[in-house]
Amino acid sequence: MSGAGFSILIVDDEAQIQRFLRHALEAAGYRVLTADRAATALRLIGSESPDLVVLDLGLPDLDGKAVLGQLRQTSEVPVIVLSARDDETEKIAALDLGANDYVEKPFGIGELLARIRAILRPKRSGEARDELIRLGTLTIDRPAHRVARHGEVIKLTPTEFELLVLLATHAGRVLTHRQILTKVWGPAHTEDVAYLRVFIGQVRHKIEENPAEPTLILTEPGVGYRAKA
Amino acid sequence: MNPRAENSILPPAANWRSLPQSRALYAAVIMVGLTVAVGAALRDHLPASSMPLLFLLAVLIASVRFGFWTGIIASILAFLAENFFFIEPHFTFHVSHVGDWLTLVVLLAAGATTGFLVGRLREEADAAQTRAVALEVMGQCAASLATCETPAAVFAALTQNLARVSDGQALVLVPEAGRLVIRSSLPEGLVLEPQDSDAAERAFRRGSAEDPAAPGWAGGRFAFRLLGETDGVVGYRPLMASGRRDEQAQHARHAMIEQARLALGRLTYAQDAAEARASAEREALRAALLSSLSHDLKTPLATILGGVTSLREFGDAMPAAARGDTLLAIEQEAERLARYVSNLLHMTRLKAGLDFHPDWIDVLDAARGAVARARRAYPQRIVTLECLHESVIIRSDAVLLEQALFNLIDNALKFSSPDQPVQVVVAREDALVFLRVKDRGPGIPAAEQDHVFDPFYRGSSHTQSGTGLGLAIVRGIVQALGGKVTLESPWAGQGGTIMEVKLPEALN
Repeated sequence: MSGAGFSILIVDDEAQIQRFLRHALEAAGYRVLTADRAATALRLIGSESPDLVVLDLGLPDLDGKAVLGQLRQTSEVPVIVLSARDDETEKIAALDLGANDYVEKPFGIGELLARIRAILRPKRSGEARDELIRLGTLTIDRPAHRVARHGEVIKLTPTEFELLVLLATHAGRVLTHRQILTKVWGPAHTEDVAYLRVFIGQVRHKIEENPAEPTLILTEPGVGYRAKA
Repeated sequence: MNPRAENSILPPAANWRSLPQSRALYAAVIMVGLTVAVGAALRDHLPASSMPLLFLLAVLIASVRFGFWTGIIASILAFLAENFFFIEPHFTFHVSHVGDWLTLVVLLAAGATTGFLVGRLREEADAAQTRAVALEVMGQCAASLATCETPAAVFAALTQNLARVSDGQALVLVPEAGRLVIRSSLPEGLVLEPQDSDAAERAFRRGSAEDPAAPGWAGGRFAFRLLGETDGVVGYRPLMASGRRDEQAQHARHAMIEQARLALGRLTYAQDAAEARASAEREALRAALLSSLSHDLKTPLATILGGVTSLREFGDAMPAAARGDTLLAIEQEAERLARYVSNLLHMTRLKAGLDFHPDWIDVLDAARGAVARARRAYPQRIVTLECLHESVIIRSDAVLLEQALFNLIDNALKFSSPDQPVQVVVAREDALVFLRVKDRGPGIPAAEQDHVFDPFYRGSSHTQSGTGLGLAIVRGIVQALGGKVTLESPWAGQGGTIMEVKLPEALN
């Protein structure tokens, strides 16, 4: 199926979760590796070079964040964090430490597959820097700084445009407030979350069919934003 | 009634001005008479000038032994006797020389001075003894207050020592429903006059120091001091002492009341600390509950939800074996979830107070039920049931007992290796029934034995999934049934654990 060729390492100490994930991901066409301890996982990442890691934050031998820290010293492999915790700060910490996305337990397999696809897609297509980006019914023309819906031009300020482009080029992936603020406004503005909310509100007002129920830019409560995949 | 404490510990009050008793008067007469006799006998051998010295000796002895007034009387008697018997003209009181008057003055001065000095010394000695007694009582009071663990004990120690040092009565009144009532008194059953009750109220409302009316005046007889806004007031009635001696007692009383206040304060802090500890424990319990819910409920849910969505998503694309395995994982996790939820519900029920239904039950029936359940849950394991009796009838709750026993067997099976059996033994000894669950697992480390019955506690090895509630539920049930659960690990020197439930025959 769609996942042909990619290998995914599942790191979780719960045998039952490994079981169904293995069956599901194999059925989706991925090659599956498993590890139930951080030490095994780090070794496998070194020797097998998986294309993506699904990492449970609650491992018995090492804290999930420590695993991320060690992993990022040697590898750029994309990581999706599995968390049983509803704690936003935990997710943000994981994302700041270099995790690419997260899925909160319990989750449907569709949700995890969507996250996996969103991360692996640019690699596969090699068209991430395409001049024309599509986001739902929107067409974003980067060189011309122009956004249109069904041929109808939508006027955006330069900052609004930059914000939209950032989200659209990471479609399907979560971006933390801090990541967005750093990229769009610069490192001096990493704490200006209120600022960000205002701009997101303005952009939504212009691009969403129904700004009250946004479908293109989704809020990840307490963490950040995610553009529709 | 003589209110003075029967076994007074204070010395009798002494004073240098105290009037002589008749015994002392006779003594003065006898001393002077003896001197006259000695003087008459020695008249031919002594020079006449020595005679006043002889009388001076008599005056000094009388004065030292019996005090100031005796000394004065003895010196007058001595002057008259010497004049009468030894100064010419003999046998008259006629004084012919001015020098003889001087003799009288010297004798008087010697008697008075000696009596005064001796009296003062005696007073000092008495005061020192009073001080010593007061200090001793204070020391005892401090020692007994230091070990008090309840306000009632503080009140009792305070009244006892106050009454001792005051040589009188003492009591503590505490506020109850807006009124002051006597909580502790010495002598017991003391009743206050209305004016004393009023003084106590004033001391309590205003925090003022209420002192008794002077003797002979209308008013209260007790002194009252505030102990604390919630602790009430202390009252005492010194009966004998006054003046210097009472000053000592007054110091001691103030010190003891202060000690009692500190002791009461200490008790309050101790109570606050205990409450803070309890609240921290509740908080820890809540955190443990949340983390348990988060992890132990979400993990099976994750497998169930993930497995079901996988099957829906891929259906036929999955090999039959993978489909079957996913379905099995879903089933197992659903069962696990059901166990957690039922454990949590049990715990909630236990926390909320059980409504159990005591009835005459056969403990063996409950044990058979629990063993059967365990065999169904662990088909590969061996669980044996042993009992010497045909039936063991007690008054208890069969459903709860079976649940407790099942949890014990479940725990034993979980923590021992699959090839080891678990024994269940029911025994009756005297008026008690014992249920023992024995396993040959790794045993429980000594440091963890105190905690295994705590809610959400899981052993350090932590290899088994669980809520950490199973044994907590056992303890909750057994306590509700009036029994006790204990453990022995290792047992018979071979490792493994015995969990023992001890139940009374009849539920109170």
